Amino acid sequence: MTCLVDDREELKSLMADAIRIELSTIPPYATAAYTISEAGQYDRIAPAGVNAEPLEVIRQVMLEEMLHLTLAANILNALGGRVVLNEAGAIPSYPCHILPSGKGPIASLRRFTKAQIHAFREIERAPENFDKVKDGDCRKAETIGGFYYCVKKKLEALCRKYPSREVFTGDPSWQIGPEHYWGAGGAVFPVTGQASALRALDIIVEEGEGADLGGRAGDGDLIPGIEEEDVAHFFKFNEILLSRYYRPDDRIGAPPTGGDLIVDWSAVHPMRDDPKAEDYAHLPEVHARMLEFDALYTSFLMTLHDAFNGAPERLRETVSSMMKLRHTAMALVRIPVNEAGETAGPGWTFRV
Amino acid sequence: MSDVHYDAVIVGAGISGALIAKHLAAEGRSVLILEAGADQGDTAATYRDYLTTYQLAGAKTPNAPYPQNPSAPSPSVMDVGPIEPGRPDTAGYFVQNGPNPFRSNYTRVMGGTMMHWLGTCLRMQPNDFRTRSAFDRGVDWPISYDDLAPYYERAEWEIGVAGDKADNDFHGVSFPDDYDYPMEPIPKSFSDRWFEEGVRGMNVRLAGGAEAALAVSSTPQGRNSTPRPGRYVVGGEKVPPYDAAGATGPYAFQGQRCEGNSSCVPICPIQAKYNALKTLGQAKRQKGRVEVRSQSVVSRVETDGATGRVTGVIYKRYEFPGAPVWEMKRVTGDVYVLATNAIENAKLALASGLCSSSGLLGRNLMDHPYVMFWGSAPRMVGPFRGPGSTASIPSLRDGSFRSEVAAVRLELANWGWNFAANAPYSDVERMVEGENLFGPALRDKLRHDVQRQVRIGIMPEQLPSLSNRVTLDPAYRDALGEPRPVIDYAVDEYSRAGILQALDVTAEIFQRMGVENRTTFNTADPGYVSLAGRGFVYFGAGHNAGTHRIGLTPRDSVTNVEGRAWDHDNLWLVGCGAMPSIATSNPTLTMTALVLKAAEGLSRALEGKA
Repeated sequence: MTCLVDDREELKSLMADAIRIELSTIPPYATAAYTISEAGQYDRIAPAGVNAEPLEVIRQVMLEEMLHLTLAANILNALGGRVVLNEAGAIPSYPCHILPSGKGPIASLRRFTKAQIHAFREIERAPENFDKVKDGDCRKAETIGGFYYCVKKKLEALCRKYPSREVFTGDPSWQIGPEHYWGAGGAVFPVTGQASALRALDIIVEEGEGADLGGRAGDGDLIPGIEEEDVAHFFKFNEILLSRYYRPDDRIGAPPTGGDLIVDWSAVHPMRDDPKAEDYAHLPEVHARMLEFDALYTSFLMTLHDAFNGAPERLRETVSSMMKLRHTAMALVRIPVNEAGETAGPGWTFRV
Repeated sequence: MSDVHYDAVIVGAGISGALIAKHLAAEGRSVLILEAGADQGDTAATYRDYLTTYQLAGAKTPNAPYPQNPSAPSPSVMDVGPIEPGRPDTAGYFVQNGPNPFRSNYTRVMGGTMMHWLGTCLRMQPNDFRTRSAFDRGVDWPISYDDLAPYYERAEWEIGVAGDKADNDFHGVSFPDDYDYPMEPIPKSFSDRWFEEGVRGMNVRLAGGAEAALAVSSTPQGRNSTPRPGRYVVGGEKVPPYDAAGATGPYAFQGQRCEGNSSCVPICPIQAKYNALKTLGQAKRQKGRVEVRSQSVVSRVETDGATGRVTGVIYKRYEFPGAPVWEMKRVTGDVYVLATNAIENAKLALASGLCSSSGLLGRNLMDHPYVMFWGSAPRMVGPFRGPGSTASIPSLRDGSFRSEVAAVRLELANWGWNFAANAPYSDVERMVEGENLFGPALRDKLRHDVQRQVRIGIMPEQLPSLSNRVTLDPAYRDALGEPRPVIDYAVDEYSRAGILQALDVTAEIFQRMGVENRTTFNTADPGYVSLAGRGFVYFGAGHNAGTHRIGLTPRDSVTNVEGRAWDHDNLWLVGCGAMPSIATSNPTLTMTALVLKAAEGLSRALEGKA
C-alpha cells in the first residue's frame, strides 16, 4: 500500500530526472550548431548563407528543449519539489547516457556531421512500444518517449487517488510564466494543477519524440505536428539528413517530399570530439579559454537554479549569459589545436 | 474575363493590405493581395537572405537588405542629387522637379516599407487634429483625437507596442485605466537617462513668447519586450492577454524578444521588431481564403464610366525581376483597396484616371524633413546598443508657438553619429588613414571617441501644401512601362522656422550638458536649405503621407473618413496617404488606426453578400 507522500516523492524524483534529460540534450545540439561555419557567406558571387537552414532547424529544436526544461521545472515545483542545478552531481558531463537506465541514446559533444545528426535523431526516436516500463519502473525506459509515457501514467494515477490541491502543494509564486519566458520555442505557462501538469507533459512529448502518449505513431500515419507546420524533432533531424523538408501529406516511414533543405557538410569547423579543458593543459591560452567557457556555463546554471527556486524574474539574466556562451563557444571552435587542424570547443563542464 | 472573382482585391502587401486581409478573412471573405515586389522574407531561410545581403552591403541604407528590382523599382536615399530650375533630377526612380528634393524612400517588397521601419509608435496629439482651429495653420481633420483613440488602442495591439502609458500622457493624450500597451516598455538607454538628468528643470523660450519645460519620455515602439499578463479593454472590448505575433510555435523565428542587435533600420535580424509579414501570416491563417500574388504590378484600375464603380484590375505579372517580359492579367472583386504607400497609391490612381473630382489626388504630399544635430559628450554614454531610438523630448511637439513656427519632436538617438557621419566606420577610416593609428592605440582612441557620440534628431511637422505633389509624365516610365512618380516638393518657411528654433534648443541642451557640438551642414548637400541666413541640411524621414486625404465632403478630400473614394463606390484608398496632416508623430500608428477604421467600412460594404 502506498501513500500520497511516497507517490509524490517518486514523481518528484522522476521530474528531477526529466530535467536532467532535457538539460543533457542542449549542449550537444548547441555545440553542433556552433561548429557550422559561415564559409561562403561572404562570397560576393553567391551571398546565400551556407547551412543557414540546418542551423535554423537545430536552433528551433534546441529552443524547444529549453522550453521543455522550463515546463519540467514548473511541474516539479508545483509538486512541491526542488530543482537542483547548482551542484556538479546534477549536471551531465559528456559523453553520457541520457536516460537513467543507462541504456538507449547517448549524448556527446561532436561537430556538425551526419553521424552526429543521426545520433540526435536517435535521441528523439519514438518508442515502438512501452514494454520496458510496463512494470511501472520509469527508470527502466530506454527511450525518452517511454520515460514520459510512464511518468504521465503515474501522474494520472496520483491525481485519480488524491485531490489536486493535495498533490500540487508547491508555491505558485515559484512558477515560470509567460512574463518571464516566451518567444523561444513556445509559450511557458504556470503549472497549478492536474490539467496544466498534463498539458505540460504532453507538450514535452509531442514536440520531442513525436509519439502521442498512446504510442500511436507508426508507419503510414501522418507526420506528427505537421498540421501546424512544425514537425517533431525526430523528423526535423530527418529533414537535415535527407536534405529535404516534409510536406503536410507526408507519412511516417516514407521520405520527405517537400522543398530542398541545402546542407553543406564540409562547411564545418573540425572540432575535436568531446572537448575537455583538461586535455589542453599543454596549450595554456586554449586551456584558459575553455575554463572561461566552463565558468560562464556554471554561472549560467547557478542563475537558472535561482530562477527555478523562487526567483523567476532572474530567468531574464540568462538571456545575456546564453549569448556570452555562444560567442565564447564560437570563438573556441575556430582555434586550431593540432597539426591536423582540428579545433578546440566548449566543454560544458560544471566547475565550482 | 478573369477566371476567379474575389470579395476583395487589395493592391500592396504591406501592413495596410495585410491588416485588411486579416480582418476580412476573419469574416470568411476571399481576398486577393497583389504585390509588386518579390515573394521573400516570410520563411526563415528567405529572411536570412535579406540579412546576408545587408551584411554584405557597403552602404547600410534603409533599402540595403532588399533586392534592387527594376521590374518594381524603389526610390533610394542615395539617388537624391541637386535640382536646377527647369531641369528635373531623374537619376533615381523619382523624377524630382524640386525646388527641394524629396529625400524619403519606400520599399516595394512583401511586407512593404515596414520591413525597414524603426518601429516608433507615437499617437498624434489632440491639437494635431485641429491645427487650423487652434493655430490657424494647416487643416483640421474630419475626426478628433477622441474619435480615433479606440482605433489607436487596437492598432497598438495589432502591432504589439511596447510602451509606458505614464510616460506618454502629455499634450492632451491620455489612456483609460483599464487600457495599457500590450507589452512592457523597452527600457530607456543609458544616454536617454543621461539626457533625462541633464535637461531636468530646463526651461526654454520659444516663438511668440511661449516657454517649455524640457523632459524626456520613453518612446512606444513596435518591438517585442515582455507581454503584459493582464486583461485589458482595447477599443471598447475586453481582450485576452497579449500573444506576440510569431512568438510561439512554428512561426517562432518571426517573433523573438528584442536583444539589442542595433540594426532595426534596415533590418531586425531576429524579427523582434514588428513587420507586416507577421500580420500577413496571421491573415493566411484565418477562415477566409487569402491569396497573395507577388511580382504582380498593378497597371490600371478599370472603372465603369456611367457609375464610376471599379470593374477590375489589370496587372503585369513578371517572372524574372529585371527582364522586360511580363504577362497582362486581370482580376475582379466586389471591393478594391489601394493599400500601397502615399506615392504609389497616387501614381496608380492618377494613371487610372481615378478620383479626379476634388483635384486633390496626389497633392499635399508630406514628410518629416529630418535634421540632425550631433556632438561629443563629456563622458562615455554607451551608443550603438539597443534600438535606434528609445526616447525623445516631446516638449516642443505642442504649444502656442505653433501659430508661428512648426512643432518638432526631438528624438534621442542611440547609435551615435551613424546616420549623421557614417560612424563608426568613418571614425576607423579617419584614425587609420588620417592619424596612422593601429593596434591598441587605435582601439583606445576608437573607444574614447565613439563611446562619447550623441545625436539628437529634429523631426518637424510639415504642413499640407497643394504644390507639394505627385504627378505623372508620359516621358518617364520604368522597365515595365509603368509611369515613374514625378514629384514637386518644397520645405516651407514654417517648417524651416521650427527647425531653427529646435536647433537653438538643442544647442542650449548641448551647452548645458557640456556636449561639444560637432554638427556640420554641407552647403553643397542637395538638402541644404536656409531661412534668414541660417542654413541646415534636411533628410527624408521615410514618412510619405497625404496624397489622398480623408475628409467630410467630396470637395475637400479624396475619400471619406473610412477611406472610401467619393468618386468610386467600391474603391478604398488606405495608407499614410489618407492623413490630412502629419504633425510630429511617425505616421505608422495613425495610419494603422485609420486602416482599422477602413476595414470596418469594407466589412459593412460586403455585408449581406453570401
